[in-house]
Amino acid sequence: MQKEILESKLNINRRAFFSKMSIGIGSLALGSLLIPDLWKGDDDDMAALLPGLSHFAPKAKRIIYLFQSGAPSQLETFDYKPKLREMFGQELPASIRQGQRLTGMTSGQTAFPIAPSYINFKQYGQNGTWISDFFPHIGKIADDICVIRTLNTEAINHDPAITFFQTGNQQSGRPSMGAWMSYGLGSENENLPAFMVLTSRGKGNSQGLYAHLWGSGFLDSVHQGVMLRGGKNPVLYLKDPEGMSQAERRQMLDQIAALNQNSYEQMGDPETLARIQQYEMAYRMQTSVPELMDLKDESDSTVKLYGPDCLVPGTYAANCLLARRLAERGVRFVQLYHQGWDQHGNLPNEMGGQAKDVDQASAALITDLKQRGLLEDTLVIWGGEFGRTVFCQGEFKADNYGRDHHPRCFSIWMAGGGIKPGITYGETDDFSYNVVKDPVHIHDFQATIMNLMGIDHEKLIFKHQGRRYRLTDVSGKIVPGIMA
Amino acid sequence: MAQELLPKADIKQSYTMNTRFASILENLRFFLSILLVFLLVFEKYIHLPAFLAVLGRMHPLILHFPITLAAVGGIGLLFPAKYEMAAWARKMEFWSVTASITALTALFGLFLSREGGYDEATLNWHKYSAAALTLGAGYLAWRFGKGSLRAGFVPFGLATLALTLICGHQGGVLTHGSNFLLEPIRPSASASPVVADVQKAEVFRDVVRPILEKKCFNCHNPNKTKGDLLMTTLEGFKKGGENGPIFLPFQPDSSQMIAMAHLPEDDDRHMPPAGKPQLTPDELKIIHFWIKKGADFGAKVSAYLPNDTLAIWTKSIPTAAAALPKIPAASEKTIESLKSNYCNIRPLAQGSPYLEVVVLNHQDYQADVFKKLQKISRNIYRLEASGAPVTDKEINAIAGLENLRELGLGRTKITGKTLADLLQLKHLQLLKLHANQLKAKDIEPLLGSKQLHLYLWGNPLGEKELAQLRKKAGSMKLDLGTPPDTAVLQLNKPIAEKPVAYFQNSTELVLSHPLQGAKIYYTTDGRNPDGAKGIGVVYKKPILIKNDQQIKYRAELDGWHASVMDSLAFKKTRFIPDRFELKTPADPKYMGGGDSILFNLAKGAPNHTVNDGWLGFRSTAHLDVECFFKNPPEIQKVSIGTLLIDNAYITPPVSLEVWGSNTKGQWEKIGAESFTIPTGPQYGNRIYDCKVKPGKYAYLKVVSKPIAKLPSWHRGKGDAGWLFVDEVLIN
Repeated sequence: MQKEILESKLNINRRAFFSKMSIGIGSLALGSLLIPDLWKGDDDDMAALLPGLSHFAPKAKRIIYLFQSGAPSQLETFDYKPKLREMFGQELPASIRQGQRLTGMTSGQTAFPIAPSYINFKQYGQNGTWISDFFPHIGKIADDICVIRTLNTEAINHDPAITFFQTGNQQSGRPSMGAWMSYGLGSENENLPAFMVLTSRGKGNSQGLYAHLWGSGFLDSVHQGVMLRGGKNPVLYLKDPEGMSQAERRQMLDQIAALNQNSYEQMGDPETLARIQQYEMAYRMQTSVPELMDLKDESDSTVKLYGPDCLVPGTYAANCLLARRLAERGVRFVQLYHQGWDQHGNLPNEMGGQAKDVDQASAALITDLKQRGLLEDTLVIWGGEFGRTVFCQGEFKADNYGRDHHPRCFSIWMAGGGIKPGITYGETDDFSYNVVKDPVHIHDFQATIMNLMGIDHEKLIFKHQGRRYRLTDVSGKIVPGIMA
Repeated sequence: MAQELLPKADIKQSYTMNTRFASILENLRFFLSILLVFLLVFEKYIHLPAFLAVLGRMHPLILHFPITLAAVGGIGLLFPAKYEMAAWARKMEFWSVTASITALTALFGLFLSREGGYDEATLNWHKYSAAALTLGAGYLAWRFGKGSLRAGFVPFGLATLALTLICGHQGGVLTHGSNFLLEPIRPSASASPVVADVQKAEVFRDVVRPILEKKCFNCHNPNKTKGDLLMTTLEGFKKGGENGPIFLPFQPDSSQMIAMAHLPEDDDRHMPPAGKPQLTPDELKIIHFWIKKGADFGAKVSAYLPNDTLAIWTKSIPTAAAALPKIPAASEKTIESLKSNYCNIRPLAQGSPYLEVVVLNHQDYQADVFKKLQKISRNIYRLEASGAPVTDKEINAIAGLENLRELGLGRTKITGKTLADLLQLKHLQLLKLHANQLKAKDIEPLLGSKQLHLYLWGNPLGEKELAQLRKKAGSMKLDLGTPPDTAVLQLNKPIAEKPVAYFQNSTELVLSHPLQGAKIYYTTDGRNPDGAKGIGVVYKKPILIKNDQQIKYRAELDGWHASVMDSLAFKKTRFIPDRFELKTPADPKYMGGGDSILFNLAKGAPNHTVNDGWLGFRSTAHLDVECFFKNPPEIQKVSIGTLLIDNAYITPPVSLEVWGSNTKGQWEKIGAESFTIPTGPQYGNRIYDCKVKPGKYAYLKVVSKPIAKLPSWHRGKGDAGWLFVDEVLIN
């Protein structure tokens, strides 16, 4: 045992080192003020090992990611394909499908009839961005958003696809994007976690969400996302028990910290330090969370902007409003999930409901951030984990059909911090099946986001079990076409 | 004293050795000094043979000896005589050695200087101070040798030290450049500034030149123009060196500097020379790219941005001189001392001397935080205090943060009286004043500045005032936000607090609405509530429910459309068995939290994926539950609560059968219902009833079967359907 402890002490790795430096890289960055060349050395290997804090002033300081879990169909949102009308019910040409792998849900299907969009599209904004009639409010902010129609992924099932989006790998266990951001950039507000998660659920067919999507993987666990629950108790076990004063709590935490410190010195487990920090964070959140959740200061016009649902905890609208409040309080990465976008059947009906849940509040968030001067340095992302097939799954009627999972192209939009507003990027073929121009792979998307946050995605690296890990793994190219 | 203890012979011997040694030294000193003076005078005529060039290059090797010796000697002369060190420095031999080595070093240096490429003025200072040091040391040796110098050492000591410093420093300037010594404290060189806006960065100024500065300027500067190449000035750089221009626009591959950088490192012509910091592949790529694009000295980085070299550009910009003026960094200690629960300070970017400060609304907030920030006033680029309880009093302190570019004062307690103070901030580009209580007259002084972007949304400004402000603002960027949507919106539905679907005796329905003033109208008679038409009752207190009941309700409020109507059904189950047993277990995928949920009065979750509160049955497994009552109740009806989600194959049951008995095992069928297979998709919650032969039964058995084969219209036709049950109701 003694030997293991000694070895562990000798092995004190960067993780422990960073934890010691209070909060992430923040203080390291300050340290480098005195020694500007601290991280610059000629040794490329060493340089690559060090987390890349903004090489130049970042364009975005924080991210609000409105994740539409379940994968909304691109054909009924942003990828307008009028020619499909003429091909109603025709078989999808094999030359288009090119042997694309199918999920177990449609692999038994004998026919792949083309299902044009049930909903109409309109052009919005100065550049005539095509947006479906499901999203009239998002239409109003068309000049502020950049629609990307050519995102593509490698996974065809929900959990691998979301996990790939969030962690850069289809299997769970790696740190999620928010954890990387927390690790690389620290927090602007030490009274709240740098990475916070809000979930809501629509009435549509939904898929599960798992905590690994906001996990810290092999990074220090202080970087994992903290989930705010809808309802009266947004963070469980945060309140002091009755009769305990703040001073008593403080004293107790100090004693526990001393014991933990002791244990750390004996055992050398860096997670012990993370634990001390988490107790501290929880203590600070005892005051910061109630202040955050108190919507008294929101005006009537704000309530109307987001829709009255924003006052109902746990709804998507409420989460959007909270996201803005978190952004105002300097939280680095706010991750929303809205479930219910998995329309294998009954698509027109279910998507209508889902769109109603998110349309007004998503647009309101952009408008609200903009008028508060926050959109300039807040990056907002809206989208799901993959697209949906142009062919119908299951029962097929003009006004009722379903779509299976489709990885080769799908649409998302981004707005704010460093994003070129009012444009549509990338082209897909007439079937919205393959990318014709300007593909954006998930790793490209991640690399671009990191660049906007002032991080070189090739430099933010963590060495774990003898291998170096990045969010973008071994690929990822910045997409200058969507950057302002 | 010590010498007296030595035997006489030894003293003699040591004396003779000393004299012999001393005289050799003296001769050497004399010879080298004369040679040095001679060469200095006839320097121009020296033609350097190769072996002397080798000696010359040994100058850097030996030059530290004379420095050390002269420094030790100089300090020794300053010491009072009683110290041993002082004794040392008063010896002829010491100064002879010093003079000789100094002379030798100076000679070597002279040879080296003949290779050329050094700034003449600096070289002269170096040369003649070295000569003076040599001769001075020689003079001291001569005086001590004669024994004629017995007092007044101090001026000699000072002179020696001064000459050593001058000579050493000038030598340093020759090799490392004139700003080498003070570089770490001089702001111009220490801080590696950050380009605030990559769009404004220039390719040569901000990207290429900094590379040259780091890797080339050391040898190609006005003080040391190796190869006759001066790179620090634009003219020199364009002109090139002894072999002509070093770059040809548009032809990187024919450009000398690119070619030389690509030579193997052991090649004599390789640049930068072996042993000096080399160009990295990225840096080389950048220079190559710049020449290829025409070696344009004014081009902006943004002109090349869509290119795939973007990654390299942006990566290299940090080392670039920048749009932001260079300033000294604030001390880390000061920064740490200013940080608190409500004040966070971080550098703008890695290595930047500029800081961003976030001041938060926090119970510990102290208004003097801004006064304290004066300690780092020059370094603050961005101050975000939106939401903090800042008042008019603090504006003055904020106005003292001279380099402030971005200031957030939205949602504060300022009234605007002191806003004009902010005009002192000459560099201010962004000012957020949203959601305050500012009047037009408070804002007016700030208007007119072209560089300022002002956020004013959410202040009590009328249409007229806004128009006036817009006029005064001129070309200034004024952000007044989006005017509130005047469309009448629909209210959201009232919220039912934890409604139960099933109850045993009675239950209460608690309704609320998040919007203040909203009224909830409800009915219990099946009509649709409508306050305007007088249908329904205004909800005031929880509604008591005693029997099967449907309640319909909606919210209404002036200025809003009424909410959609919602309804809740309440089902009574009078009898809960004392014991029960599931004869066929539910499918392992849908165990719903245990068999007990069949009689827990709780409704299952709205969605099967949550898998909470539902027992799922499929194909051979079907609902088959046996119940036992200690006091046999009078039973008339048995029902099951089910879930229908067609696209998940969760479909209605085909049958519901009930057996009763008062003796264990002797079942009598007391009721049976069968249900037709649906002809289209069905969704939602549904109760299926089965009337039974009325009577008292101690034992009860409830059986319900799912669809064995889904109908042909269903996309899962032929597959087995699911039956989801959350409650068995016995009345």
